[in-house]
Formats: sequence, C-alpha cells, structure tokens
Amino acid sequence: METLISAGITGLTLGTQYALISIGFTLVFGILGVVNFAHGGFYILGGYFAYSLSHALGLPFAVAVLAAALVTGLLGYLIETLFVERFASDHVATMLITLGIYQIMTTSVTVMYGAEPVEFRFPISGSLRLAGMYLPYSTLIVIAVCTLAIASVYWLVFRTRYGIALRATADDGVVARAQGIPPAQMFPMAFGIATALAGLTGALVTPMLALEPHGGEGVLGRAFVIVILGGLGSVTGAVVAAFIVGLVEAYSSVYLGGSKGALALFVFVMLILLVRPQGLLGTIARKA
Amino acid sequence: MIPNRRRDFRLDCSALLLLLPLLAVSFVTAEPLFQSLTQQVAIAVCATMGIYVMLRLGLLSFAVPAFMAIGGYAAAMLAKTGSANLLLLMAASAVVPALVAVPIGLLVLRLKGIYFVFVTFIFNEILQLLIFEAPGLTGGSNGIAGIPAATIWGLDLESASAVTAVTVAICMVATVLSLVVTQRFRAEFSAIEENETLAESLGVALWKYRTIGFITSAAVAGLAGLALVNMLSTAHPSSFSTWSVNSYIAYVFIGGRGTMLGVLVGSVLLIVLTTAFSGYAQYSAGMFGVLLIFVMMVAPSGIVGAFIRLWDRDGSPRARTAGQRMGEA
Amino acid sequence: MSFQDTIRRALSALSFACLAAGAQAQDCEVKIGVAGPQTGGGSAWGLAEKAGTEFEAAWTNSQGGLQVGNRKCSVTVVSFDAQSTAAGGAAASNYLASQKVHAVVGPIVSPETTGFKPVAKRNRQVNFSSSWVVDVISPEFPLAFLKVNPPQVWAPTLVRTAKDRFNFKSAVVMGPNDQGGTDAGTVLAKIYSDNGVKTTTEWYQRGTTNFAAIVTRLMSIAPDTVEFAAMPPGEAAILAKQLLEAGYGGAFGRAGAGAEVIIKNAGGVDKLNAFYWYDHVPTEDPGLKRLNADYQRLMKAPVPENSLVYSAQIAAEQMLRAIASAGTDQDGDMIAAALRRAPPESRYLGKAVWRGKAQYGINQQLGFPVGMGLISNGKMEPQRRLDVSSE
Repeated sequence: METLISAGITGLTLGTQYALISIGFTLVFGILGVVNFAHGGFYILGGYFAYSLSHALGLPFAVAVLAAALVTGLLGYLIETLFVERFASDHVATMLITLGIYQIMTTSVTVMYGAEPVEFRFPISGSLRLAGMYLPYSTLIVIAVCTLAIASVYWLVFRTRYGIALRATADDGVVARAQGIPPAQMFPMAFGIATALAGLTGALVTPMLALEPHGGEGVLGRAFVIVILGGLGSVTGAVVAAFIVGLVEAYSSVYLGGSKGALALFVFVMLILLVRPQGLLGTIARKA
Repeated sequence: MIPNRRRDFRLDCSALLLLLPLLAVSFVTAEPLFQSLTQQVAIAVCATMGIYVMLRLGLLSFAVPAFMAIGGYAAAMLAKTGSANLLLLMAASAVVPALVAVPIGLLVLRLKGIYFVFVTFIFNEILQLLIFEAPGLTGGSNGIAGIPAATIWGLDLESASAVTAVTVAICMVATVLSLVVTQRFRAEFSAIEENETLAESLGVALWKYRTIGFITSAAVAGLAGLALVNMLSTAHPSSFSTWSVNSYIAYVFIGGRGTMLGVLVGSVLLIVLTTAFSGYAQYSAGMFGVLLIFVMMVAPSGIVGAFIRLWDRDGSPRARTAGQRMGEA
Repeated sequence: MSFQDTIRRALSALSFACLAAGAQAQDCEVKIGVAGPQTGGGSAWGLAEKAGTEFEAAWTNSQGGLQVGNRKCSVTVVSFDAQSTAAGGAAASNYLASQKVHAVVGPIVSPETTGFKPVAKRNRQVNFSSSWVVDVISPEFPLAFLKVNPPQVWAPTLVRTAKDRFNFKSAVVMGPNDQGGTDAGTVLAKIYSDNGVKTTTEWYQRGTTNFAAIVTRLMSIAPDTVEFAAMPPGEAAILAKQLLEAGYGGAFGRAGAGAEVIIKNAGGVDKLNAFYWYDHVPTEDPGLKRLNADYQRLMKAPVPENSLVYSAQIAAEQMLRAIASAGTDQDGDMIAAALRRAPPESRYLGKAVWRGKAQYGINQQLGFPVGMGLISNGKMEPQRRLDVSSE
C-alpha cells in the first residue's frame, strides 16, 4: 500500500517538474513555431546560476533560485532577439541554431565548472514521516513552488491582456498582427518566459539530484514526449500530459523496473497517438 | 533561390560522380586515417540520404537511426548464421527496414511536420529499449560481435582498403536509389513539400508518395546500417542512438538541403573538422555549435545553396525575380 | 699556456659539447596516445585519463626526456575523443595511427573498446583499456592490455569483508541498460551470489536523473545492501542521496571507482551508515600523495578527483618504460614484448604483477594494489590497501 502511495507522490512530483518544463517548450512552439533544442541547456544553466549565486555570493537559496530564473529568462530574451527571431518561420533552421546554442552552453559549463558534479545542496534536508512513508521536505517544497509557478503562468496566459495577446499570436499570427499585436514584442517575451521556467525548474530540482553539465540532456526528450502527447501549442495539454507522463513513469518504474518502465511509457504514448494523433488537447494540425 | 530542375538534377548527379574519387581512395592509399575518414564519410552520406529523401517531402525524420539499426542488425544476424555474401547482405539490409517502414508509415505518416519529428523520436527510443530487452536475439547491450567480413565472388573483403571500397560501394548504391526516387517523383514530392492541401487538390495522392519516400528513406538508412556494422565487425547499440540523428541533420543542413551535393559537402566538411579538432574535444562541441549557428544564420540554404545564390545573382534576369521556396530564404 | 688555462678551455669545450647534446633531446620525439570519452556523460573519466597521461609525459620531459637508445626524446601526447561509441573507438585507433601513435592509454568505456580492438590489431597498436567487458583482453589480441583490476580480482574480498562487517543477506545490483551497466552489473551480481548473498539486478533507463520511482521500488524490495558500481558516479550519487532521504537503513556498496562523488552528494561521511567501496588504487597511500604533489607542481592545477587519473599515469609509465626498452615507439609488437618481459612497476606504488591468465587467457592485466574503504556509523575508517597477487 505504501508503495502505491509513494509511487503516486513520485508521479505528482515528476508531474509538476515536467509541467514547468513543458509549458515553456510548448509556448515557444505554439507562438514562434520554434523547437527549442537548447531547452535542456537553460534548465542546467538555471542550476549553475543558482549554485554560483548561493555558493559564491552567499545568497539565500530562495533568492538564488529566483535570480537564476530571471537570468535565464533574460538570456532567453537575448538569444531570441539575436539568433532566433529572423528564422522563426523555418523550423529546422531554428532547431539547428538552438542545437548549436545548447552545445555552446554545455561546453561553457564544462570549462567553467568541470565535468564532475558540483556540490549544490538543498538548504533543507530531512523528511516528513507520514504513515510509514518518508516524504523529503525538498520534494514537498519543489511540488509547492512548481504548482505556484504553474498557477502563475496560467494567470498570465489566461487572465491578463498580455496572455490573451500571446494566445492570439499562437492561434493565428497573421490575424493577430492585423489586430495590432506586434510579434516583435510577443516573441522575445514568450521565449524569455519559457526559458525562465526551465531555469527555475533547474535551479529547484538539481540540488535534489545532482548538478553536472549533461544533466539537461534528458529534459529535451521528456519535453518532446509530453508536448506531443498534450498537443503542440496547448498549455493545458502540456500540463495534463505532464502529470500523465509523470504518473505513468512512476508507476511503471516502480512495478516493472526502470528499463522496462521506460519502454512501457513510450509504448503507452505511442498508443495514445495512434488513436488521437494530434495529442490529447491539440487541434488537427494544419501544417505544423 | 529559384528552383531549377535541370540544375538540381545535375548537382545530384555530381554528388554521385564525386563518390568515385572516394572509391579511388581505397585503392590509392594505405594510410589508415584516409581509409577511416573515407569510411566515415561514406557512412554519413548514406545515412544522411535517408534524411534527405524525407526532406524532399518536407518532413524531417528522426527514424533514420532506427532503420539503420534494423538494417544493420538484420545483416549481422544473416552474416553470422547464414551467408556473408555482400549482395545478399545489401539486399537484406535494405529490404528488412523497408518492410518495417510500411506498418510504421501507416502510423506516423498521418502526422504533419513537427508531430512527425517527435513521433519518429519516440519510435527510435522504443527500438533501443527493445534491443536491450531481447539479448537472445540482439546481444542486448553488448551487441553482436565478431561478424565475418563480407565476401563477394569468393573474395574475402577483410583488409582496410577492401572495407573502404565496400563502404563506398554501399553508399553509391544508396545514392543511386535516392536519386532515382527523388528525381522520378520530383514533381509530386516538391508539390507536397510546398503545400500539401494544394497538392492534394491537384490530385496528388499524399499517402502514396509519402509512403514511397518513407520506404526509400528506410532502405537507404538500412544500407547505412550495414556499412557501419561491416566497418566495425560489430552491431552495437551505441551506433544507433537517437541523438546521433543530430549529426546527420547537421550534415545536410550545413551542406545544403536542396541537393544531394549538399549532403556530400556537409558530411565531408564536418567529419574532417571533427577529426581535426579531436585533440580539443571538450571545446570541439562548443565550436561545432558556433559553426552550426553561423552557417544557419548566414547561409540557411547551406554551403551549396549559398554558392547557387551567388551564381544566380551574377546570372540571368530570371534570377532577380523574387522566388520563395520553403526554407530557402 | 698555464695549467689553469688548459682546464678552463677544457671545461668550456666540455660544457659546449653538453649543450649541443642537450639540444639533441628535442629532435627526437616519442608519441603516446589517449582515447576515451572527452564529451558526453563519460567525460569525467575521459578527461581524468587524459590528465594522467599528460602528467606522465610532463614529468618525463621534466627529467630531460625519455632515454631511448642513446638519445633523450621528448614525449608528446595525442588525444582523441572516442565519444563512448564503438564507431568512436574505431575512429580513435585510425586517427592515432595516422599520427604515428602506436601506444595508447584507453579506451575506457566498453563500446569504445569493442570498436577499438579489431582496428588497433590491424594498426598494430598497443593499448591499456579500463573497461570490464568480458573479452577486454584475450589471446586473439596480443597487443591489448588492461590497466585496472577487474571485479573478479578484488570484489570477493570486498564483499566478504563488508558482509562480515555489515551482515547483509540480500542485495540489489543497480545498473543502466547499456553495455557499461551490464558488464559490471552481471559480474558483480554473480560475485555477491557466490558469496551467499541473495542478489537481484535492476536495470534502469540510462540517463535517468531522478530516481524517486526506483527508490520506491527498492524500498519495497528492501534489500540489505544496494550495489552501485555499474552506475556512472553522478547517477549513483543521486540514487544514494534519494535512498537516504527515503529512510533507507541498509548498506551501500560501490565496487568500482567514484565513491567520493557519492559521499559528497550524500552530504558527507557522517550521513552514511554503512558504505563500502573499492578504488582502482589506494588513494591514501603516501606514494600517491607524492603523485598529487608532483602533479600540482608540474601541471599547475589540482589533480582531478576521478581516480582513473592514477591508473592512466601508471599505464603511461609502463608504456614509456617499454618504449625505452624496445628502442622504438612505432612497433607495437616490440613494445608489447618489452611490457611482458618485466614485471610492472610504479615509482609511486612500487612493484606489481601481471595477471589475467585464468580469467582472460592472457597475462596482460596490471595487478597493482587497490584500495578499499569503509564507512561505519558515520565514521570513515582508514583506507585499506589490498595487494594483488599473481595467479
């Protein structure tokens, strides 16, 4: 019984983290049509920025995390304006440009911090004992912060005028422009928000796990799976799919083991896509 | 850049002809580095042709490593248990993936654009995991080792030069196959690439041509798998990882995605560069990134595309009209 | 001319001749190679190996060069990133051959070794690998050597000692679903079983960073000890940390290098209840402390943490000595013969033995002493040095 509940909690934890990563990824795709191959790079940079800020400058953890998110957001804004903007319509050009940026990021991090994991610790250790189960405080905090972040993104995208403008641009860029929404302002901000979310997740999660230059590699693969399951461009879809993937991954790993669990997860996603190729909440894609 | 069928055909043929000097390398020199580079280039060109064929339909396929694996492992199993006849191995490595591509195609070809990319990614991951979970068949994580060298007409093709010759020969067969398919169906493929709805309204049966393209891509990738497995005498899962597709994509886009010559140029350039910088490997990834960004920003239609544009600019008045083709800014 | 003048003239002539002879050292060059993963997940290993080899070259050069015949030659290191793949291993051999390198430290990871060996055989290159793949050395490949002790040599002692101390009856051996994982994992599982421990293996998807679900699975299996050796150090460290947070009370084993990463990530020695590990070399040995000092002095940087740096230095030292003895760095067969002629010796760790006949069919594995560490109830015990005997 404890195993069942434990697996469920793990699934939820994974779900919140995956949601934060995937919202950004799907936003960027929906609004700019860009597949951001550097997404994992922003994730790990968030971790390294927070590490440097908290260890070198002695900033308290929460401040370091927020600052890291801001810095990655700014970096994303810059990268979008300088490198991605002009090529937003060419899917593959942007894929390769962002791939190149990812390589530069991992190389820089390896050169600056070394190839071995660095000591980035969560400030609060220890676990909550509940009914024979252990719930690490770090896990609870991460769930809380991620949920808060997801809620904020929701508020931004669905409740503010800015968010409406973003969604309009995603829905139909030409009409949005005709309505007076300037893509030149929407695009960099959207990219910046996405990368800030990735950086936030990295800063929060890597102290729980480990911080090393290749820690972002799995992020892109997971984002692919979740975003396509949820439907490209759909924020709600990404969140729902993130939780589904988190729970399926958790339960299949616990009951089948890691390797068979991964196979089960991919087959599960494939099966859903067979039935509903546009994803759970995606619209029938015009040429994506 | 103005589409010009005759010029593109000539450039495609030149790619095939330029493979002949590569073949000559195997006879001319015994220097291991040149043999090794030629082998790597030939395998890269072959695999990248798999990407190229799908690109002519406007689709980016991440399934190429998976079809390479299927072709490579099929040939490995055949060589170890049955015969190592080169022609037989080539047939197996092309036909088996092509057969697998039919049902897979039914599933994935309904999807457009980026959906197609992501689903082919998942397909590749599933295949890698299946390889691990079936050690009796595939050797699991160790792969299938000790594969006998290919033979033809009684000759054992074991020496380094023979391996190079075999690899380039396989590459040429794959190139010819890609050339034939992409040229024979050029009109239909480019119609689909340009605008699917319009093409369909004009009577182009999307499913038929997409399937032809997918099967060809699978066969070509399978041949690349054979070449790789033959070079290493081992069918090893590490040769077919999902992210290895990034290299093939880079070759075709840096070289020039419009013609097969671009595939060759990109492969040669990047493989030589990677080898030249291998002593500084931890920086080479970053330098590779800088090169990618630079080329995509300055010359999005690749090196060959840039040359064509410069050529056109000095050319006829036709060149000065604004021609827009997808991705050739 | 006075006697003083004669002496003065003779001395200046002599010093002139010495200078000329010293200049000779530079026109003779010995090349050795390094092949391993320098990018990607295995880069910590590859870069440590490169550092160890470059240190040995630097040290030799600081002594005036390598004495080959009647000349002192400078030592150069050529490195190649084999990228943890079979194709990378093959490319490494060919590239190094084109650079006239016939003595190679590496490859490290099993896929690389699988790809490297047949090509190196053709190129007549001698190499010192680190992988544990079952056929890493064999009579079919007379130029292939192994620079670390495989688990069969020391793991039984480690497991027995730990079993007596921590009294475990069941174990789970963890590993990623790739060749590096299965090589070590299956071997270790057998060793545990042979020593009376009920053992199962658990394979997880390579590249996993969050082991929370695996932890839940392990907690429900509830083994007395979890063995991490088949996992890359970074991943093992995460799993250890998450297990501790989940309240795991059993023992941890790391029958493979990389324990320091686990200790660091878990939060320090005091957080660990029962941990036993192996290191390729006895890292606390005074001889290796001297190496650290030499490294710092020559390379102007602290020695890399990954202990493969020591194994690489030892292998490079053996190869350079063999090259000097054989009189050439171009003939792999002669270098290999020179290696086999004399027992291995390290200026930091002393004399050692060649081993491997029983396990691999050929005595080409370096048998230097290994290190064994134990943490019990949050206290680190002094490292034990286990000497490796000949067969």
